[in-house]
Formats: sequence, C-alpha cells, structure tokens
Amino acid sequence: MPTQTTAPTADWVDTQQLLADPYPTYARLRAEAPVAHVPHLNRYFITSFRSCFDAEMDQETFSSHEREERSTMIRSMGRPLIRKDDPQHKVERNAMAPALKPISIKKHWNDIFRQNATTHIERLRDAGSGADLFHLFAVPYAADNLSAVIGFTGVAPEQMMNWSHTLIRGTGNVLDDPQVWAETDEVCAEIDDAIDRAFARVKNTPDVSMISAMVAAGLDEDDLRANVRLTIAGGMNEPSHVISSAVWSLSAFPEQRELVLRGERGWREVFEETARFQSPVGMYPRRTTRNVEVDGVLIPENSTVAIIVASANRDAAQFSNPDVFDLSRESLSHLAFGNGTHICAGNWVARSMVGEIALPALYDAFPGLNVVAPHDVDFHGWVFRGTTSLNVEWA
Amino acid sequence: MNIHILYGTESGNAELVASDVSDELEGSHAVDLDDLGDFDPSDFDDSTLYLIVCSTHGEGELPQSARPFADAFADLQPDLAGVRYAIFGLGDSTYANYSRGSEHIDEMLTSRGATRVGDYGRHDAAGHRDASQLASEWAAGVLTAEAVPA
Repeated sequence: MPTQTTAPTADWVDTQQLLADPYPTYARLRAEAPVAHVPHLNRYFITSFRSCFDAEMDQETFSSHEREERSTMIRSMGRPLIRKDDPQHKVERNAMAPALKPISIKKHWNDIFRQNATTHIERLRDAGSGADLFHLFAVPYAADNLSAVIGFTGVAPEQMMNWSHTLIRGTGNVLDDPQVWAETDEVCAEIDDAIDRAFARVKNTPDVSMISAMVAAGLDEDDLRANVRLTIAGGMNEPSHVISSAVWSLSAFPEQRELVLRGERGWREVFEETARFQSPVGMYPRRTTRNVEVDGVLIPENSTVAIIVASANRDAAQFSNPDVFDLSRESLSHLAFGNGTHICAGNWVARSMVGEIALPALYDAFPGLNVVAPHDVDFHGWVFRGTTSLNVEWA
Repeated sequence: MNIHILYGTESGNAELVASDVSDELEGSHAVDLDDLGDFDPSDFDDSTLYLIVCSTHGEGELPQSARPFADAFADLQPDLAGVRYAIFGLGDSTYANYSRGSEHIDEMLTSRGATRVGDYGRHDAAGHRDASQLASEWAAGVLTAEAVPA
C-alpha cells in the first residue's frame, strides 16, 4: 500500500454551530475534507454520500461494537443490538422482526395507528388553530404507536416521552453527570416494570408485539430489555421529528405542498424527501477495526468514526440541488435509516405510521394546514435533529 | 392450473408483495403462498405455475429466507424439465448489483431445466412505483401470456 496521508484536522468545527444548524459545516467538510479528524469530539467525520454508504456496507472495518467503558449508550440502557456486530446483531434483529415486518404492519398495526391518529387529531383540533402540532399530535401519536408495537399497556404518552428523552440524555452524557445516570437508572426501573407486565401477559397470550416476538424467539432477557429501551429511545424522537419536519417542509416549500394536494406527488415521496432533507438521526458512530483509507486519507485502527448520514443526504454528488426540498427527485433512496446490516429495524413502521397514515390524515383533517411563520421555527441538534415545537394554523 | 407464489425475503417486504399478489389472484385462481425457506425443492411439479418474488440483500446477495432453499437446491440438483416459473425481483438501484438476488434463483432454476415465462419483473425501491401494484400488474401479465384461464 502506498504511503498514506493522515486525515486533515478540522479544528474549526464548532459544536454550538452543529447544534444550531450543522448543514453549513457539513457543506464545508464535504468540499474541503470529506474525511476529517475533529479533535475536540475525538472523532473522524465521514461526510460524503459514497463514503458513508460504503462504510455502512463494511461492518468488518466499521464496527458497531462500542467499547463498554466508553459507551454512554451502554451505561444508559445496556448493550442493545445497534452496539453489536453480526452474527449476534442478526440473531436479535430476527427475534424482533415478526413485530416490525411489513405484513404485520399492514395486517395488524395500521388499524391501531389509524385509531391513534384520529384520537390525537381530535386533541389538536380541540386546541384550535395556532396550536402546537409537535406536542399535541406528533409526540403522543408516536408514543401510543410505540407502546402498542413494543407490547406495553397503560403507559401514558407523557411517560413514554419522559423515558425516551431521559435515555437520550443518558446517551449524550459524555460529561458523566451523575444526576443524569441517576435519572436513567430510575427510568430503566420503570421500563422494567412495564416489561414485566408485558411478560406476564404474553406468557399466556402471545401476540404480535415486539416483546412477545422476542420472548417466542427465546432471546436472552438482558438483551431483550436493552432492545426495548433502545426502541423507546429511538422510536419516539424519529417519527415525531419526521412528522413535524414534513409539515414544516410543506409549509416552507408551498409549491411542493400543492403538488401533493393536487395528487401529482404522493405521501411516500413526502416521507422519503423529508427523511433526506431533515434527517432525524444525523450520525451513526462506528469504530475502525483496522487502518483504513477513505477518500484518500488514513483513519487509524481503533478510531471512533462519525458516519454523518445527514451530510451524505445533502451531498450534491448524489442529489442535485440538495438544499432544496423537492418531491420530484428521480431517486427516492437516501441514508436516513442507514444501510447495510444495521439499517433501521423500525423503518417500515416509520414509513407506514408517518407516510401512509399520519400525514394524509392531518392534511385531510385540516384543510389549509400551514406552519405559523415557518422560517422562525427552531430546529435543533445534529446527532438527533428536529423541532421542539411547531405551531400550525388551518382554515 | 395451480399457481404457487414463492418469496425470498430479508426484511419482509418481498413477503408483503407476494401476499398482496396472492390476494389479487385469489378471487379467480387457486393460489398457494410460501416462503422459499419453507419450500422443498423436490416439490416442484410441472402442473403448477410458480410465481417467484425475491428481494436482494446487501450488494447482490440472496435474501435470508432464500438461503436454506438455495442450499437444499444445490444438494438435491432437482430435474426441473417441464417446470414453468416467472420471476419478480426487488432491489434498490443505489446499490451495486441491483436486483441481483432474484437472478440467483432464476439461474438456479434455469440450470436444472425449468423454463422462465412472462416478463422478468423488477421493482426499484429508489423509484416512485408501489412494489405491490407493480408486482400485481406483472403477475396479471404473466397469466395472460401463459393463457391461464381465470
């Protein structure tokens, strides 16, 4: 192998700027250093579509097996399947698959998702034009759907949201704040109680839920609990963020909304383009198992790598006019769910509950649905990105 | 004429597509539906038309549920003279070797003397068409080409 060039250092990357709006930083990285070492985050950023895609297809080099002593996620929730490699990752994924596969969604979950959409649309309607769609619809709708799919009963949306946010705060607790760990421990105990109640139910009456599927597959109980906690962390943020990002995008790009309302473009296009344009999970962490050359520069063995799929999804080498929300793109493919063996196990559930059900139901229920002052809406985050509120009006 | 729909799937999408095709045809035909993983390659018969729906895993590999079938097929090397099948592949053109998963099945069956009939159907997940709708149109076209009476 020829002498390898060390990856350039991007010490100019500013964490506050990433949190506020990471896209200008990503554009500069793609132009100047598509693989760069970001010293204060101690990570190698990969930002081009092609290299993110290829890295995700090569789990032997870009491992998901995070070291326990360095993993805030494992400290928060145990070691779920996204922090494992195959073959064990595949065993656990297959165990939960019966609950998440398209035919189960079509034949079982979609009816429940529709009922939940109706319930929360009525709550939004009761609050009146100008209400916060994120808090009154997107969050409780995602929570109730998630409860059903996991196999929980009697868990209020507010509790599900608290669990999810606490686990995510734990995953982000790189400063090792003991108060955060105390909160994640408390939340894990509450989740364990809900899991125990589900165990008692599915033992006698197996059903379509994830917990029932994992019990039937004989999955180790610690693994099962970690995977339920992961699903709570991931299953709330992403769908609720995509719902509000989609409504925001159709307001900020009204000519695109007209295409949909005239039936010239579908809700599937809205879902996929939103996931590309405002990817709710922006970054996947990986660890290199060997020295590897990416885009002509060296990433040393045992480095932490940030696969920046939010940047990949704005790469002009893959998407023309990438900073425009455009429902007429020839290719609907993107990396918002990742790809390869770790592609999001909940991707079919998300596509259905958001693209097939929530979005058409909202625009059907609220003619003229529009975000109040879309250009003043605050999006936040780079690892997870979305709005924190979304005030909407309707005719 | 019996119709037997077989699917090879990774995430369950080909299963849904096969099930939707089965639902379309059931009103007018006798249809069986099975995962390739549950199908014994010695059970192919020449009085049945096989409609095979198969996805692609990774960069051109067979999906998980088709692999036990492929292994059993390789061991058995069945004589498929007189057996007719049509095939519909699923894939994503963003990946290398787009839709190649189904081609492995196609090559296996052809190599043992089976005859592919109708159009080679394909769905691209990067495209705008609905997979089940496209597959149902493909199946209807195959049945017309084979003059299968309703």
